Amino acid sequence: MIIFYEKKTGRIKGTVDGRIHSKEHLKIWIGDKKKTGRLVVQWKPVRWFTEQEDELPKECLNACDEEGNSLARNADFEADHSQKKIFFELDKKPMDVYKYKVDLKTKRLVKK
Amino acid sequence: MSYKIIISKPGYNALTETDPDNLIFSSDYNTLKYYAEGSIAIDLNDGTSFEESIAHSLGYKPIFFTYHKWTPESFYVLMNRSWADAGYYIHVHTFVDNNYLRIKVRQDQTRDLQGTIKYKIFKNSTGL
Repeated sequence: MIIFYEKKTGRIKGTVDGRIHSKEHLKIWIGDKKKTGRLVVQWKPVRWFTEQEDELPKECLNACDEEGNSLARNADFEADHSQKKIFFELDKKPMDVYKYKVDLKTKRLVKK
Repeated sequence: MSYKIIISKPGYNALTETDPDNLIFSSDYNTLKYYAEGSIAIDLNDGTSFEESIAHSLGYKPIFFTYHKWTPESFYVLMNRSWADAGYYIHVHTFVDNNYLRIKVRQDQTRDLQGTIKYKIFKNSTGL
C-alpha cells in the first residue's frame, strides 16, 4: 500500500492499494507533491515453499533441481514495516486506512 | 508465425473452440489490463468545493472507473454523480487527461461532507 498524506497535518488523502508496487506505481502521486507526503509499504517474502509445500530453508533459496529450475515455488509475504500487523489488517480492509493519520515525526500510522 | 494463449471453459477444446463465450481467456481478444487501484478521501470541511488529482503518468487517457460514497451511506455509486433537492445541489465528477485522473466536487451551500472514492485505472487507452 502507498499512503499519501498532508505534510502539515498527517491527514491521509488517498492510497494506491496492493502488496507489491512496481516502478510504474511509484510514479503515481496524489495531490500536490509540495504539500503531500508519501509512505510506501511493500510486502516481502518471509517463508519460501517447494512444490510439495515443504518450507525451504533460507540457505537453500538459490537451490535448483536437476533441470535447473528453482526449488522455491511459493512464499508467504508480510509487510516490510514496523507496523506490519496494522498493514496486514489494511490489506484485508483497505478503507480502514482512513481511521488513521500519519504521525509527522515517526511516519507511523496512529489512530485518529 | 504468431502464437496465442487460449484457456477454454471445462468441457470445451481450447484448440478448436471458436465461440468466445466458451473461453475463459483468449489473446485474440483485448482485455482490461489492471494498472492501479486505490482510494481518495473527500473532505468538504466548511467549503463548497473539493479537488484532488492522481498523477497516473501514463502519457495517454486510460480507461478508468471511479465509485463514490458519502459517509454514512452504505453503498458505492459509479461516478459521475449529481443530485439536487429543494435548495441545494452536489456534483461529484471525475476527468482524465494524459497525466492525471482528477476528482471534483461542487456544492452550492457550505456543508461539512466527508466521503470516499475508490478508483481503478487500467493500462488500456480510451483512444481519445
